[in-house]
Amino acid sequence: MADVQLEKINKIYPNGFHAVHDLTLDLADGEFLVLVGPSGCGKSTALRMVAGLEEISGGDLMIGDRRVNDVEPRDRDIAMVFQNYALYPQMSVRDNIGFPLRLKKVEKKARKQQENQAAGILELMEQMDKKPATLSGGQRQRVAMGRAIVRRPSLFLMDEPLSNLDAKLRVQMRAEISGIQRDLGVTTIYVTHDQVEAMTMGDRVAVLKDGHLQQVSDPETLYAEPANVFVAAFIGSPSMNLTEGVVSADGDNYKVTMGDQTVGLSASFVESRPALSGYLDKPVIVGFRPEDLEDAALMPGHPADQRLKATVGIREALGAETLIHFSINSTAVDSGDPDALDELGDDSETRCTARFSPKTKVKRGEEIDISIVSDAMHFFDRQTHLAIR
Amino acid sequence: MVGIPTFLHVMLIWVPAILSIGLSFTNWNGFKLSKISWRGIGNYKQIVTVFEKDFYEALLNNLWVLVFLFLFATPMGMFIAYLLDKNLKGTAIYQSLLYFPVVLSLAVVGFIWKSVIYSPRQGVLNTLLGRTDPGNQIDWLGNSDFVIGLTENYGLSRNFLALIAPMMWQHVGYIMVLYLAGLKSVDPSLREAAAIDGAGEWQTFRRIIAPSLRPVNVVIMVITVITGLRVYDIIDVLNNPIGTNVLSLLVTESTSGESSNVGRGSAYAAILLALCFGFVIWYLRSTFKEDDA
Repeated sequence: MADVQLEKINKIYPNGFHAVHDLTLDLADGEFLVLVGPSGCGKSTALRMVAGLEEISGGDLMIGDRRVNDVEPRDRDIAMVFQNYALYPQMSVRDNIGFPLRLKKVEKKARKQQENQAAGILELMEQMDKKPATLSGGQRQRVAMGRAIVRRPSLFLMDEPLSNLDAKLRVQMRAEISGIQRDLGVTTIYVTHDQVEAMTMGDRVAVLKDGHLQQVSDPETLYAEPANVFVAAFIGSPSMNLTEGVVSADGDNYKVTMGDQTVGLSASFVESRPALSGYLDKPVIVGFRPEDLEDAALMPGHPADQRLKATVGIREALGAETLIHFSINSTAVDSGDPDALDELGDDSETRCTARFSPKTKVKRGEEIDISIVSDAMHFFDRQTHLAIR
Repeated sequence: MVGIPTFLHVMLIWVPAILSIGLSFTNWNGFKLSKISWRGIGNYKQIVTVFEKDFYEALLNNLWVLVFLFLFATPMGMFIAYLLDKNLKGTAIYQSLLYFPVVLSLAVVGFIWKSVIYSPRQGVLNTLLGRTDPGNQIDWLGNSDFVIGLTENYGLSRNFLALIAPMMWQHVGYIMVLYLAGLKSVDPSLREAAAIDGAGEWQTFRRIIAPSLRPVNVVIMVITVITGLRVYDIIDVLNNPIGTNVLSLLVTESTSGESSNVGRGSAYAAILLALCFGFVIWYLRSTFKEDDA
């Protein structure tokens, strides 16, 4: 076990492409850190630099109190789980799991015992003599985990280990990996593009975009206080609605106007964000999460000035909730997520999503009132995209 | 859709092959069909009695080629492929240079070696050795003394060894390309996983890379055997010096010329076919048996 430090790590490829910029991260001993971001954000490159599979162009990498920039992968005391599992096809499950031990020249009896122990944790005992090709995706994933845990490394590295599994198995393995990591207490860096995985598994989550670290914090903070527009849109599903608006004050009465919609803001909310007063009457980016919207018909006590008027577009009944799509006539905002679908239609309209209780009776095409929890709104600078607090 | 190619294949390859096996049991000069007469296993008997010396010498020479390809050329080609797979600077140049001999026909290769390398008066070898004077020239292709003598009559002659060199030169390039293609198909994350698991270069190759290349290894083995058994052109082009007979040459020698004997030629061909087939079937069977286990 060890704490791990990335100190201004950079990756510049020979063709000049700068994949990772000054990445600084501190992992406490036993911590589970998730690196998350859209494809091409540099998260896998960062992980591969920690593993020693990519050269570090600049900065310091410390595992424990050793600087390991120039240490061979096998001498870094790490284990890695690959996206495609990278199981050795001609070896049995037992030999796959025991391969690191065999290379360490662990004596046969002790090796067998450790193999069995790892297989026991992962419920692989019945598969020990099979070849990887005959296993299911989930079993292969377990073998890859087994090979990683058998050698008790001081650092686990996981590169999208669940992305080749189907959705149901992914949820199950998510919990299992978290559980094993917690039981073993091994410091872990986990790369994923799936923000749900990031939020559910990580002690802390580091969001990357274009090789730059956007924000690193625990999942709750990331969700409640996104540092910028990108993080706001990337974390949470469905994503946060983002549109342009103007905050204005009439004495002590604050309100935000988005197109022809106006929503009142409480004085205490504005006071809790002192920087907002500097943006009065200027265009800002306004964000509100789908879960902070509700069918007004179901919320009779909700303040009358915290409402949006909308026409119901597509309606998706998911059982536990009902998603309602609607548009408001204010300028849309590009969060900068290259994986997000380009919004269809022109920019002068913002497509929004609301997460209603399944009790809602609204129908497609109906004119409705949507209550909005305005204290949960987010404001961002239009130029820098940084949160206004 | 497979019908037409299959039909052509059967008509042009299998039918003639089976016909010549049939011919190997006859006596025929190759001209008039009416002169064909049944001879039973007479041709084969003759081969191991009257033509004993030719036959065993040729068979042994084919075996020498096989031995040298297996011991040197094939491992060399694999080794070079392994080195080139590491994305060295100028890989493309090395690949082209090493593959170049494969593009040439063996006949051209023969000429190049005969006139550039082995020529007693101007050849590279004798020039380097300072043996170009008529008095002390080395006659690379003319000297049929044994380098390795097995018995008084049989062994590996000097000039045949000199002929094996260009065969190996060409074979290295061929194996290199085949093996390189195999290496490129190995999932790179396997190497990375092995590197993290603690494997050194040799361990990674021996335990991870080589075992996953088994299909390629099968192809390489089969190709090496077939190459060894069907050597022909390079020797023919150098006028088949004494001591350099191989089976395929015996086939053409017997079936052409004034004293042509299609029956005996066919018998040689049938023996060659049996050797190739026998080996390939045995090898494939043993490989696939392992796979099932």
